[in-house]
Amino acid sequence: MIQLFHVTKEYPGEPPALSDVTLQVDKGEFVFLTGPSGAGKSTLLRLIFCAEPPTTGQLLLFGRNVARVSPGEIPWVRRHIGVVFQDFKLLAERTIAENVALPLEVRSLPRREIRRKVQGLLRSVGLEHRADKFPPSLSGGEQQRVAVARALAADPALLLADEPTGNLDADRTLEVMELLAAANARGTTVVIATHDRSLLQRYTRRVVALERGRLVSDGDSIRQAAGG
Amino acid sequence: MLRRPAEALRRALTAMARSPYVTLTGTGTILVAVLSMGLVAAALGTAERLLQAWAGEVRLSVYLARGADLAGAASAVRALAPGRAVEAVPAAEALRRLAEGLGEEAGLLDGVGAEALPDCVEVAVPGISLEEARALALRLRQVPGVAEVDYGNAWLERLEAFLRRARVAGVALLLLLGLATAVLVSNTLRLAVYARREEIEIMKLVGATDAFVGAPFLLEGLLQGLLAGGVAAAALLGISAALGPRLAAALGPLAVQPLGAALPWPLLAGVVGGAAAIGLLASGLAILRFLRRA
Repeated sequence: MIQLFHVTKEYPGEPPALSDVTLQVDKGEFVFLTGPSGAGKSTLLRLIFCAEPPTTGQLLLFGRNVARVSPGEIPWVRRHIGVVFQDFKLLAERTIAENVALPLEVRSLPRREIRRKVQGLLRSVGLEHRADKFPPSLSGGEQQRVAVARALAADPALLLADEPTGNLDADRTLEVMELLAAANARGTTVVIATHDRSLLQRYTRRVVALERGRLVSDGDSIRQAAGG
Repeated sequence: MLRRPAEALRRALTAMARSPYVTLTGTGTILVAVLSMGLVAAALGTAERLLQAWAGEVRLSVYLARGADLAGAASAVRALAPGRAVEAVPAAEALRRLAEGLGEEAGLLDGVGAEALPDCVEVAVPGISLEEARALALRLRQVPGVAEVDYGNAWLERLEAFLRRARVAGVALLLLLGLATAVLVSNTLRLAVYARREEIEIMKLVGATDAFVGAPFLLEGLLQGLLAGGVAAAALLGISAALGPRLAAALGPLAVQPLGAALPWPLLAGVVGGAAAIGLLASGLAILRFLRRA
């Protein structure tokens, strides 16, 4: 699903954001990407959803070298990826239903099918009664559930989440994590960037740790907890 | 390729309704710009038509040598200027008209006899250009007995030169206004695009192509342009209807023109089409620059 070979990402005048990272994530995996702030977690996710190219090294996504993906092809690559952000990135002037419908509109699905899918998605995240509300009227946990519903709307093969619970309390964190785990159980590959150690302790999953742009460990969360 | 233009139109209309202030600012900018250009173009067109109407009053005077056959010369002139009003004016009649023209100063002609003036053939040449007048004068000079042909040479040449300069100045002014308009409208629509940068970013994040993102912006620009152009055309018609009678009162019957002559349909179509093109191009440039960076 995702293969990185000696990937380095540098920005002018700064130390490398990623340095010689080699990593493989297989189909159906659930992976925590962890490390302190500035470790390179978000940069790695940005490379994976083709927001920018690696400086050196090779990144293969769904078997394709992203260096050979033209700018015009990027939208089609992204249609296989759902993304969730810490700050939700919902459109404040669109209703919850309209926000969730965005990935389906982009694919030019018929409006009736979009309505049907959006209803199902909102039901799955427990927000069908809030469909006509606007994001600012929702709590942080509810907004993040909307963002997860939007990310899953088009049944992506890969779900990337950048600190998805960073703005949530413990109960809301659990709700969102359960949604992501459920998506993984249905076959979606999930990669979550987080520095929340409690998540790693709660979920026994693969943990890839980064520090100053370097991959420093790769194992399951029990071993990580034992090691650190 | 955009598969669903109707869907893009729906999204454009929804976006316009969601941001009425941004829509009004864009439309207002295009409106002010095309209305200014339309006013300049209409004023130049009207000025040129008025000057041409005045020029059309010019008459060619064919003066005969002493003893020449006036009736014969008039026939020859008629043959050389078919369709024109030709009048034979004997010297006595010319003197009478001159005295009449002098009014109270007619006493100046006391002691002047008809023999002081030559017989003359007058040719009315409404709407003639300088080139045509010059060519006709050359032909009339060949008539036997003709001493001189006067077609108001100096005055017509000054008028032609003035019209030429006015045309160049008008085109330069319109080009300058067009450039200023393009910059102004493009910057306004860039602000509108910038105000929706978050929406564009999220659209691209969920897999929207540049065409999918850009099409509603292009349609918004086109619709704003059409709206602004329609209002500008209506405003021009209103201004023309309001100013027409005042212009006629100030400049005399020559200024009285039907509305269609003062504002010909190509000018009105140009205002609407130009506004639509400006809206489309400016929004296209704005969204293109943004998508390149996004």
